Amino acid sequence: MTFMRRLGVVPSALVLLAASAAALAPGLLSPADPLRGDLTQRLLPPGTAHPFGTDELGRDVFTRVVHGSAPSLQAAVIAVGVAVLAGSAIGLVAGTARGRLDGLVMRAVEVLLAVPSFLLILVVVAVLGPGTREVALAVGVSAAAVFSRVMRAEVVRVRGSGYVEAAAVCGTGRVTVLLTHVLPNAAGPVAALATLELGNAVLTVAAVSFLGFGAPPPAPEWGSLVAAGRPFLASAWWLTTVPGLVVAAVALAVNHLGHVLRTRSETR
Amino acid sequence: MTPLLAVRGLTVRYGPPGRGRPAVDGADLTVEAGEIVAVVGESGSGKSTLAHALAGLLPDTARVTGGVVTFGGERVDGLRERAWRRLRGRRIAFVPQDPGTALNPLMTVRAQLAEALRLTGTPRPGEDALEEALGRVGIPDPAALLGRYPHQLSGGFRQRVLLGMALAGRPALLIADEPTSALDTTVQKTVLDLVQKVAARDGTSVLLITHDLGVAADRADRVAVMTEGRVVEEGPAEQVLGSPQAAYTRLLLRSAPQPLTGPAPAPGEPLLVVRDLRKVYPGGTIAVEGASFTLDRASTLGLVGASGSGKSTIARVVTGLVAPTSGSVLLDGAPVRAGRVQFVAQNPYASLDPLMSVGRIVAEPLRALRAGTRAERRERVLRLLEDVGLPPEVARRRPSALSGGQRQRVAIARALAPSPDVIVLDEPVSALDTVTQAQILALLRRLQDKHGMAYLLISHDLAVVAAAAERLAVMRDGRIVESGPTADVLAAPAAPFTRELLAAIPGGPRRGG
Repeated sequence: MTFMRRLGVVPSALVLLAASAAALAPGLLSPADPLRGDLTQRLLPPGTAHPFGTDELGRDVFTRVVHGSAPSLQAAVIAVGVAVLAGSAIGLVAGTARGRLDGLVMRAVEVLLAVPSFLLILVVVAVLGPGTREVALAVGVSAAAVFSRVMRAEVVRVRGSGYVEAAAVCGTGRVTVLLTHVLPNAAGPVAALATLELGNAVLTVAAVSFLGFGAPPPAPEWGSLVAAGRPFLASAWWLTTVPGLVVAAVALAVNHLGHVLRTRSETR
Repeated sequence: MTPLLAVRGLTVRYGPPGRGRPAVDGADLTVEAGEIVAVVGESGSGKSTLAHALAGLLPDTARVTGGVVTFGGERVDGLRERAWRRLRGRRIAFVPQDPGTALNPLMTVRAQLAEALRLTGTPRPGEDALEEALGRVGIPDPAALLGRYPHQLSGGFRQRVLLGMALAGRPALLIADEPTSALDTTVQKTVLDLVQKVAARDGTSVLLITHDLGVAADRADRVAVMTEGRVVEEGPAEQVLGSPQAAYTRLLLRSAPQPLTGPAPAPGEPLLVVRDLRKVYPGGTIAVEGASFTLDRASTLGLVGASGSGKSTIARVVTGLVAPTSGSVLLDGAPVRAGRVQFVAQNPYASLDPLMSVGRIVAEPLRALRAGTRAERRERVLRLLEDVGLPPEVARRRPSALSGGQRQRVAIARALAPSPDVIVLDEPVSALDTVTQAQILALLRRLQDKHGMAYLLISHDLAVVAAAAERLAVMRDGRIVESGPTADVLAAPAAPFTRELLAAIPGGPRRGG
């Protein structure tokens, strides 16, 4: 049973490994230029020369997917980073201050939560302008509210614990208590949420880029690849299907691994 | 005549087959009809597993790997869950350990009691049946209680409701797993009195699981002592406790706290002076009302009271965790400076940061006071660990790798680190087993002789306080109702509440003799 469960991790790990390799060293997997097409090789179905086929300008889809993974994954990671840092900071302040500041901050967070996240992302992107980094920031901001709530709840829990009280009697300063006791002990659920959010962010970043707010063409990005293939849905299915499957596979793999890590840390 | 319950060679294991020692290892036990049998043991001795096995309530991870259990002449080991359900509630009843979590917080007493009665075969219990079930366990106004939710009841009343549910079907056997260990001693007494009374009236046999030899001595006809999964001694209560055969039983008996004897010490030099302390929490709850006491240098003052009497608030005020509403706390005539008063909390499982190494935990007050260099601090931590009887390699471990007693030693080492004048001990041993409790109390005494600090010892257990403090103060409802040298208070208690506390100590007459 445990062996089978361990075996189940392998495909997810392989997908994630391949995706990170593609993001870190795209030239290694596919040395070709993602922007250069060969017009004699237009709209070829997947085959030996082009494993994912070619697009309407004769560009190799595999190369474009590989080179598109860096901006797509980067954006997801940045988004989660922004969400964790901003959300944790807000939650830490609210949970520590309590009282009126806590109420004020948390009501603001609730307003943020009440707005549909996709709408919020579009508003932020509309203000900042399109681009991979802008999309990442927008997705991060929309996810920060959830992190701040989890962080606040954890901080409130840990602050009432015996060891925080003991530290106060020892004469440890408030800031030191916060950094050495409260933050490390509150970090667990936030880290668990972060793994969950990473899979989500991959999906959201692709969606926003699909709508055309990501990196401007011809730069490849998973979401914009799917969008670019739409006119050829009837004649060249691979242009939309293959990048879409890649997004789905990566999101699933991240979620699955995050779930495994979480359950393992919980049972320990 | 066949006994009501006979257990022969019962063995229960947890986890995968062939790994580790069994939790219950070949236990033998007999309960005759109408008899109260106590199973005494420390946590981890297997007594709770035994109780759950006999009620068919073992978790899925546990397996019965050997032995025969007969109940009323019929074999019940290896029964399926359906058969158990027919037996449980009607013939065998079970009262769990923690009344705080054993009742469903979303259901009224009426709904939960009705459910229990339905299971015993009354399909639609009427109001009078419900009230009768509660009346049987000594609840004065059953009608008013039925509509309440568990959180509106005190711990003692919750335990009575659970008892009422268990006894509703007039079972032949009541299995009570530490029914009073979460309750104050005075409440413990009323609940145990009740169990005894109902058992005598209905002829119900009781299997009482407890860690407290005193409880066993007071209540049981027969006593079985368990350690490491084995029943090491079994027999009539007087015989087991009067002339114990097994070495472990003797150790348990020796570990029971003995009150300090000898003349009262002459008043020494006052160190900590608390005057007219008053604490009102936001919302108007008066926790402490005009408490005054003096703690002499290098002495121990015990503060006794039931939960909610305000003694923990005094601990929090003295350690500076909360500010008093009015009144003064003076150390050597001046307000308390950082590091001079240290604190050992009740729960050694909560008071140590789970992510820190023991070395860092012990060094925390030193870091806070910026005392010494890093190397000096490390040196001091090792000396402190030695002082509290822990090996130096513990410094690198996390609290989760330590037992409860070891954790409490770490907490004491941390309190000792800045060489304080006063250590406030808030229920320092109430979460520990009897044997560990005796060891920690001995350690505290040794440390006081060596370093000469004063202790403010706070406990709900008069026996513990009497064993460790030369003077004591009794608290009730935020006021100190009686204080004086321990020996005098025990010999001639003035306040009625003190007499009540004294009477509630389990195993009373045997103690000190």
